[in-house]
Amino acid sequence: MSTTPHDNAPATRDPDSRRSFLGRSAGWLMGLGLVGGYGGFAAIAARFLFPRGGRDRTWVYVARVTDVAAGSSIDFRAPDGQRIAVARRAAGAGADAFVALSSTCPHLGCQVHWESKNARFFCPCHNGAFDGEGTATAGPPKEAGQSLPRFPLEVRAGLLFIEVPVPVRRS
Amino acid sequence: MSLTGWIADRIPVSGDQLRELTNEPVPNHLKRWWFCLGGTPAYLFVVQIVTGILLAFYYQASPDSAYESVRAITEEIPFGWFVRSLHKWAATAMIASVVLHQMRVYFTGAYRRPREINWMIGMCLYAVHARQFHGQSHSLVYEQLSYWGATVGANIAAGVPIVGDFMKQMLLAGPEYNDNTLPRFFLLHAAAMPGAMVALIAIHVALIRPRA
Repeated sequence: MSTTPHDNAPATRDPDSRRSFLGRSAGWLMGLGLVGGYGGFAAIAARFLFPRGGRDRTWVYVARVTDVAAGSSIDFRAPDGQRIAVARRAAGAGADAFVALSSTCPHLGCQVHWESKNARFFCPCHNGAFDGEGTATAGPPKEAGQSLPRFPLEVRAGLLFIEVPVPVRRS
Repeated sequence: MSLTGWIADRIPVSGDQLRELTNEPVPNHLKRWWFCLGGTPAYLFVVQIVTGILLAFYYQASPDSAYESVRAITEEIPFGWFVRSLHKWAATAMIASVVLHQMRVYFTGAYRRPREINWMIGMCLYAVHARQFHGQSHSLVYEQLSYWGATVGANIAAGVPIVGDFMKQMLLAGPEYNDNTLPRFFLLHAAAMPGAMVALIAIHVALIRPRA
């Protein structure tokens, strides 16, 4: 093998020359690039793997118990944007007198509404129907056995609270 | 005894030996960029393994929760969209670079004697990756395209004479799509196929040297 001036053998190069300096600088730059790139990805992977600790839920104020007459309902909007029907079924002052049902049909996500003359929640998209407890009674939700999701309620000092999911923060 | 001495005592490889091995002169014609097109898909394969392992931490291969777990990876888990995109785009870029690599080998005549076996192994790698990987990865998301992708893929396999029906049943875990299909596709995608590819790549790369 012959040795030409273009051969990449830096053994006898003057360490103070401009060429050595540029070579060293390029080496450092490439090293920094590698550390930055792979280090950045390692940080992203660690963030990706760190557990989120389940879905966060929180208690939110709905209304004063005395402001909701028995038989009426409130169209409540949760912090994450979903609509929840909070209805008072009885005159009692405890949380048992109320029921909170999601207004989003579990079939394809249309909004259901309460029909007082039929005593049911009705979904206009595919004729799905639910009774006052949220159990499906007709349409696709009945066939799939999907009910309206229920939310826990609590009465503290005459005030009604509901437990709802915290809005998801996107990365 | 110093730490480097302690290690050198147990792993008897000196820096000089390594330097001699890695600074081996490379023929000038190999220094053109299109001779890197074989290493490019190899690197992308490593990217796929790393991001694939990360995705497997959250993916659930069950008909009930597969779609929801993919949605959670994409929308809720921090940087999940990034890891999933890397996985998908590395696969796409891998196909592109493998095709370019194949063209380089073809136009430089590198498939001819004595390298025919490596050409065949390369074609097997291409088939495993392009056909199986892409067919399976659609199916894991578990949407409509997944069902029909798996069904159409299995029916193509069924078109092969004699062994066709056997292959279809092996793919779908039954005469048609069922609850056992998704776990089967997941393990083919995440364990069996990558294992086969690692073995084929090892032979493919090892065979470069003896005939160089």
